[in-house]
Amino acid sequence: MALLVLGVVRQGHPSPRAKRKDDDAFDVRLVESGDLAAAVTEIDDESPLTEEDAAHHLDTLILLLRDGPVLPLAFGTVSPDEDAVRTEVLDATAADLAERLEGVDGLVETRLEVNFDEQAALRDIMANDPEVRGMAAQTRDDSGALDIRLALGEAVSARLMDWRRLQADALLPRLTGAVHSVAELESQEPLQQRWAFLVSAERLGELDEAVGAQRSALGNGASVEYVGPLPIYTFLAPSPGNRSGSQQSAWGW
Amino acid sequence: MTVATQSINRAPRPSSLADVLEVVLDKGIVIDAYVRVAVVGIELLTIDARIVIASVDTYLRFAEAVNRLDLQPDGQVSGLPGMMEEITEGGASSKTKGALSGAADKARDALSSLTDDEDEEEEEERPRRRPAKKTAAKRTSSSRTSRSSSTRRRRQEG
Repeated sequence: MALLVLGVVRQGHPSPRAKRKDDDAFDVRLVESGDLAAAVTEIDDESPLTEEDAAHHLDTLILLLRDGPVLPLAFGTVSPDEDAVRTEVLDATAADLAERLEGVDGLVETRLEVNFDEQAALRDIMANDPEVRGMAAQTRDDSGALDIRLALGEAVSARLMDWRRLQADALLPRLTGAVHSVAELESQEPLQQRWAFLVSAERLGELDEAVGAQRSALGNGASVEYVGPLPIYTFLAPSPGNRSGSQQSAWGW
Repeated sequence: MTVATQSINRAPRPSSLADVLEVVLDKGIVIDAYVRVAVVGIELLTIDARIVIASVDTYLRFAEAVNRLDLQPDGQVSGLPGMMEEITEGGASSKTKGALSGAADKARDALSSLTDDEDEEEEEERPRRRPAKKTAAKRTSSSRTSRSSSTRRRRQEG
């Protein structure tokens, strides 16, 4: 057996077990050292980690977040035993971890994913872009020609991304009244827009209202997934050993 | 600190496991130095199964979509519930679609461009093949996780 180290909280943070009394399988415990504590769970170190382990990791941190600041550790951080958790995780960078906990205290992250309706966007583009209309007509005349269809698809894809950008630029200011910071997350579709918001827990209700209002305003024009409160992931400063690293969101507080 | 109670329109965490993985896999604090030896090689992990927006598969789908759109009068297309469903599902499946299923799609599309006449037949076929693709997407993310674990085992033995 080994210990999967999930996250770091302050010493004295309420045990997550107390919140899951009915769940015998829930075995997360806190290992304390100094002013800090690490949430750990036992794993079989011979078995590969699974998606369920990842879900458990996130769920546990979300549970901990209800009672105070939480620093998420990279999923898969494994320690042989509790002593190693104390000496190598908590004590080794105690000052840095304490400072980071202070930095995220009272803050949460939420994420918003907006998928704009493709039909509406395509209709708009076809109505207003003679070039695309012309290319479309060409593929109908010779529908078997792969290169012409690809050129059309590429043009449409580019237009869709421009279209989405316009919509997103109009939408964002209506969402961020209560928000501390915004980060744009990589999207996976031309019509998909994703953001992470850093918001104080106290003002989460305001953000909820703004999202609710925009969701209603968008109606069938977009599907909206709104998730949170999550521990701060996107807005974490780079790890101590990775200060020059590639993370985009080095807010530095 | 007490975090506000659950809003009606906010979910506690992402609904799909793929999105959960995206949150936890390439983010979070990496503990430096010694412990790293006993740690999954998170720094080696990236979300590499993401769809590349500029893909042949996507282009062909858009080419098809605009033509379907243009051939039908306003209101008729958006009034078809089946079509909406197809769009939503298409988005979800392509999100984590592996290279293999993408290639299979390409082949199918190329084939259909030779054999089909852009008629309703193809539209009716689409919803039926979506479930198969979803399975492929799931496999892709599983294998990604397994790879991380083998990294860990290698490191522990070494």
